[in-house]
Amino acid sequence: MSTARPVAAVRAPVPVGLAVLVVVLVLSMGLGLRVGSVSAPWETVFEVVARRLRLGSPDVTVIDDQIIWQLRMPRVLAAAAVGAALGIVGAVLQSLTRNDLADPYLLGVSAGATVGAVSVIVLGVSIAGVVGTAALTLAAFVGALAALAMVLVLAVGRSGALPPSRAVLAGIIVSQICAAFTSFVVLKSGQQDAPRRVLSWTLGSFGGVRWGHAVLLLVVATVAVVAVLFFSRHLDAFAFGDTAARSLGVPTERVRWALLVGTALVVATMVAFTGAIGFVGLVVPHIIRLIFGPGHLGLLPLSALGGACLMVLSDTLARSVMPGQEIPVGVITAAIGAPVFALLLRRDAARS
Amino acid sequence: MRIAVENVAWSVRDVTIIEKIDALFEPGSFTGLLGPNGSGKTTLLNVIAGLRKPTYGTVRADAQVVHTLSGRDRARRIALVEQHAHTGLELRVREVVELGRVPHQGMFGGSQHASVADAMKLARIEHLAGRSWQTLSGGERQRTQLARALAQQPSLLLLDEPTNHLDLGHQLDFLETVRGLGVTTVAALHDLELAAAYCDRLVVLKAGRIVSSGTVDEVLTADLLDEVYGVRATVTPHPSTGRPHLTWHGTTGALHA
Repeated sequence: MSTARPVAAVRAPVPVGLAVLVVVLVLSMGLGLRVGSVSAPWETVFEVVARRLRLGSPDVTVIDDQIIWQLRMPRVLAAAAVGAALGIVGAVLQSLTRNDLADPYLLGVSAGATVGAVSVIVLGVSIAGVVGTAALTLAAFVGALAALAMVLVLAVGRSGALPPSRAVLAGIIVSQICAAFTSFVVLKSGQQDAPRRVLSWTLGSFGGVRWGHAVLLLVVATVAVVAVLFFSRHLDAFAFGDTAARSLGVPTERVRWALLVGTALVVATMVAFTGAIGFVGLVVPHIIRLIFGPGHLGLLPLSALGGACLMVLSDTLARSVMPGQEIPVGVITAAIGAPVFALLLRRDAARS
Repeated sequence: MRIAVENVAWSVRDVTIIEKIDALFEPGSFTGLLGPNGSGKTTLLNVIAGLRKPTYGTVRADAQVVHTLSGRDRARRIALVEQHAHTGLELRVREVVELGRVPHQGMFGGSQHASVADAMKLARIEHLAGRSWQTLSGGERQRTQLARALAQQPSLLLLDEPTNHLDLGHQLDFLETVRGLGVTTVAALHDLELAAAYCDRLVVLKAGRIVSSGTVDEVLTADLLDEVYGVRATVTPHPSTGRPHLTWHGTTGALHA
């Protein structure tokens, strides 16, 4: 009887996946350092990085050092950090809400950040005398936090409970309000290029990233990944729903609060610096699950690594596909992510 | 483990679902929880499991009050098999059973524990270990959830209508397996014949209160069946087992009165 039915799908082993993705990530980052408006040979990339890491003292021109270490390196690191954070947050939210469509922007942080960004780009709002890119970042972060606060006010019950279904609906409400505000402001502004500037901010870019930002994003992403790993088994226990998780001793209410609010804060930081880059957080966890299975001890680190790889490669493409012009990175993540996802989905569908 | 339910009530938004519940579950006993739909069986199981804090009264596991235990301590003592277990994930049977180790493990899981293999053996699903949960039949899913519960190494096993959606053969098979475990068990059951055949004691709920409790012989009487379910029946001792045997003669009309 059991032989007549399809047995479980073959899975790739997690340790192999980790090893492969680490190698792919290092190669992608190397490629990211090499490629751009000016292409550097691999040798130069190695020399610049080796000299900076004090692994030797090769002869390096100032211009190579400037381009590779000062301009591209922070960009590549930031892309890896944001990709890792979005990948792991997507995985956490999909498990926590038991919703395949959950992505890192579930609780309205991207829509809130856009309101903040639009306020600066179009309305020229300034916060405490901060101007330029810093003002944009700050306003986006404040907008994201305000949206999160609104979602919590709407979703939290009298007893302090934060049920996922209500959180998702509150996220939709807040996102829609924010989107209405954004559309209105953009369309009513007299500036001709306002729609283009807002759209390109929304689609995301690592263009403005400098070393200081990269370090901050790396620290936030690292803390997020490590912290979330501690919840691996708790997230596994959510497989059969809330009651099942509680009967296994998981403090579901506390875990949900910590993870929903914690990941929203991480995403708010990412969005503030780079815009709301879509698709990575939605698609990467699904791809990882289809290849390696749903266990969180594997899913979480693999999603972080996979997100980092996808983001670094996307950003590299974004600044090299069209010479002299940058494509918003969100366009590339969708263009790469969707077909890969479609392929895996068909493979899965063909088996059932 | 000896479980004592003392004057327990639970209400939600001022609606009382169960009240004045007193019951004692002796170590190793198998108690059937009976009652019509909406009589409070699932609520009572959840309160005993410590998943719902009683609005009044206490549930004690030996000397300890269940709802004051930490989640982890509680899950090491009490395991619950819900009526419907559903997941959209591509989990394998072994992985589902391993969830039962969560209350015993550290943050990152732990080395393979012998209790997982033992639990699968007891629930007789060893041959399914590598199978996908999504491909299991209803009976196989129920056994897998039982194995998960056993992997918790509980002193008390709570089953919420475990034989629903199973055919007759699988119903008997499942209850025989549970009886053979020797773990203190409380099972909400719909089928009175099965309850009569497999339980040591019965507790009957109606509209959130206990209307009868005791041994199977004491509880299953024609009067009780009339009062609780609104059905007419004759109860005779079974010729070979001596357990109560039920013959139905239709409803009394009380259901729609």
